[in-house]
Order: sequence, then C-alpha cells, then structure tokens
Amino acid sequence: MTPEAMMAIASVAVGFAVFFALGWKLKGRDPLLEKALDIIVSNYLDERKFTLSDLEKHGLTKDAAKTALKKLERAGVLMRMDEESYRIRDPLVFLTDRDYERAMRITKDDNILYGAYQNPYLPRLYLLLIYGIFVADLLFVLLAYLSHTMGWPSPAISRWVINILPGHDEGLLLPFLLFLLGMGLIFVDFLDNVIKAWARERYSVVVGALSGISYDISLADELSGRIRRGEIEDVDLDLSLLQKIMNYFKSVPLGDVVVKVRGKKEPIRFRNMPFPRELFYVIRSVQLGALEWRKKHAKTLMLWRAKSVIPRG
Amino acid sequence: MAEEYMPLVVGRLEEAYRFRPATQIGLFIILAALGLWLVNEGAKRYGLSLDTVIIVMTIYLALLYPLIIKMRNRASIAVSFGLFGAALASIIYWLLKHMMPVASLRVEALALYVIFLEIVGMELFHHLCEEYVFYERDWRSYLLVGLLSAVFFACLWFFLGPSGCGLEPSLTVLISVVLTMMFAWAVLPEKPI
Repeated sequence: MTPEAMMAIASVAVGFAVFFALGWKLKGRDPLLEKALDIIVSNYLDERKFTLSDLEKHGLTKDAAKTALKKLERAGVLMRMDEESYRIRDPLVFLTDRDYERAMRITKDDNILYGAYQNPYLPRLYLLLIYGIFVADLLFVLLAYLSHTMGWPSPAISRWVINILPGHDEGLLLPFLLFLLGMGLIFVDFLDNVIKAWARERYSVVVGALSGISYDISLADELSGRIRRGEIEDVDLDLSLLQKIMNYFKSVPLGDVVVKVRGKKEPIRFRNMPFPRELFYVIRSVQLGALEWRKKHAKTLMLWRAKSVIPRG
Repeated sequence: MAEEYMPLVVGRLEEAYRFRPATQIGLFIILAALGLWLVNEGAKRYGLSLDTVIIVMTIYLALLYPLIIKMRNRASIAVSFGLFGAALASIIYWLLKHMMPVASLRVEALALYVIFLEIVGMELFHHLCEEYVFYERDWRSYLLVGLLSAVFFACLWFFLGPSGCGLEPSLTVLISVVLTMMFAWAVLPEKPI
C-alpha cells in the first residue's frame, strides 16, 4: 500500500471517528427534555398557552425548563407567543409562524389539525431546473477536465477555459473547474430555495376541527377556498408512481389528496401535499367528527415531530 | 371510526412512505457494492491510484446514505455525522494533495480552492447533518453563514479583482456581493417543508 493511500485511509478514518462521536454525543437521550415534553403533553395539551413557570411547578429547574423549551421550539413542537408564554403546535402543522397565525385568524381561532403548502408543479420543476442545470454543469466540468488531461472530446474546450483565466495560467484550470462545480451547486440550492419560497406562503391548505378545509386558490389569496365539514362527501389518496418512487428517497413524502365535495361535479385535488396519508386521515376524521385520537396519541405524534431533537431508539 | 385509522397513522408515520429498515440497509449495501465495483473498474481502466479510489468511494457513500437510509435513531444519525466528517476529510486531503507545493500556488488558485471547500462542506452538511443541528434558522446559523460569507466574499475579490481577472473594483464588488448573497441564501438552513 502506498503512503498516499495510507494517508487517505487515515484522513477518512479520523474524520469519520471524530464526527461519529460528535453525532453520538449530540443525539444522546436527554431525560430533562423528555420530562419537559411529558409535562407539556400531560398538562397543557388543550391549554391556549403555558409559561416557563408552569414547567417549574412540575419539578423542572428554571434553566432546564428554558433549555427544553428552546429545543422544542426549534424542533417545531412549540410556538412562542410572547417573552414568557408558549403554545403547542399541532404536530401535523408545517406552516410558518406567520401563516399559522393567519390560518388561526381566518378560521376564527379554530383548532388546526393539519397545515401545509401544496406544491402544484414541484416534481416537474425540480427535475427540469434542479437536476437539469446541475447535470449540465457537471458535464461541462468533466468535459473540460477530460479535454485537458486526455484531449477528449477536443482540446479546444480546455483551451477556451484557460484563455479566460487570469494570465492564461494552466495552473488555475483545476481550481476554476472546481469553482464552477461549486457555483453550480450553489445555483441549484439557490433555485431550490426560490421554488420553496415561491410555493410557500402561496398555496396553504389548512384543516380545522370545526372549520373544515381552507385553502388558497391563487397566489394572492387569503384562504378563500373552503370546504366545510358537512360538505366533504369523500376523500381519496392519490399517489402517482413518480411520487411513490420519489418518496422513498426525498426527505419529505408528497402525494395528492382528492376531496369530493357535495353539490360539486369536479373534485378538488390538492397536489403534492406533504405527508398525504396523514392529511387523508385528518380529513376523514374531521368528516366523521371523531378526533379523540389526537389526545390519545399526542405524545407519540409530538415525539415524531421532535425527532430532530429526540431521536428514536 | 377515525379511531381505527389513527393507530395505523401513529404506528407507521413516515415509515409508510419508506422502505422497511432491512430493505434500506440491504439497498444501501447493494448500491455501495455496485459503486465500489464501478470505481474499481474505472481505476483499473484509467490507472487511478488507491487514494483516489478511497476518496471517490467515501464521497459516494456520503451522498448515497441519506437518500437511502431514512431511519432516525441515535446510531444512524451518528453514522450520518461520521460520513460527513469522512467526506470532508477526504476532500481536504485531496485538495491539499493538489495544492502541493503551496509556495508555488497563486493566490487566485488558493481563493478558488477555499470557495470550493466552503461550498462542498456546507452542501455536505445540508445533506447529512443539518436537520439534526439547525432545524430552523437561529443566531448560531446566522453567525456561521456570516463568517463563511465574509471568507467567500474575500476569496471572490482575490479571484475577480485587479490582482486576478482584472475587473474594475466596483464591478468586482458588485459581482462578489451578488454571488455572496446567493451563497448565503443557499447555505442558510431551510426547513424541509
């Protein structure tokens, strides 16, 4: 084995060991956090708000309560109302604070069971913009590198790149190609954020316990689309093959949910909804008026939502 | 009646969309072995050195892992962190190898290598660790992105400015500001939904 190979193995092993230990330590069990979550679920599930001192009454120290509340707020389990008070955010609400408040205002402070954004054009935009642009960038960088090292497909590509570099310096070719690759990544990430920002706060879908389904029907809408509880005739989950395959690999599962409305010929289709099965079940239980499961499984749902701060197992 | 549905939901939340844990591990092993075979074939054909094979495989595994493994327990999260560290270390090793001897390296080349390292480091962090560190933007993430952006801006200045590509200072500042803003927005933590 060459010294270079041994150096490479040592670098990789040290990098892995250091960060593995860091991850292991960071994601260890936090009994205080779990206790705080227990107190909140057992005592304040149906409260409008609770404060830091409420947790202190149940045996947590001020510092421990403060840290736990901060972590739970970051994990999206709690929402800060003001300096002192917090409120439980339903685990299936994925709206920004601003949109959550807007949804509560428009639904007359209803109990919001599910809230997220539909992304009508997401998969196609992603495939076309994100992966298309990055693949083009990667191909160009590879061709320029091969053109320089092997003269394939033509030395003209690398010659052209070298000509635009300061001092036509060949030594700058590799770092410049790496820079192009990096900027391609940044551009793709930037576009990803633009698509998300464009979709977010535009097409909210909110399901309230009493108000039924409220949704935005245009870019400048304020949840004017309404399906009241009694109007829900049927609800269906519709996952295309592409969505099903993408769900195995993407961080957030997406799918369509179709709601048949009494008195309307055409059903309403919510496209690319995050966690569509859960939306289906929530709409079904709103339709049937059976919401006891919320209380029964509140802790499990919250632990799932807080998975970034409290990993399972 | 909804009572009948919800235990199903709670029991299989998220898992319903994913492969079973055993399938995830199996698929990961198969794809890792396939990658290893391909890299090995490529190395034989094009005469790549063993350290290059190790670096390529480490980066490949780091990119593959979060796409396939969707379990979120302490061990799987720690492996995710470990792969981030391994990939970052291998990239730093590879860059250092290409930068040698550093004395003969132009400042512009050094600036471009630093930009590349920042971008790849942050993108790998996004890919492997971010959701376990910054679920939402907070002062720590702003501080980190602020520091990285300052370095990014300085490197762009060296590359594009009078000593590098020879652009006018005002134009250099303009382009650097736009690209730095793009960089900052791209690397700031984003909620997955």
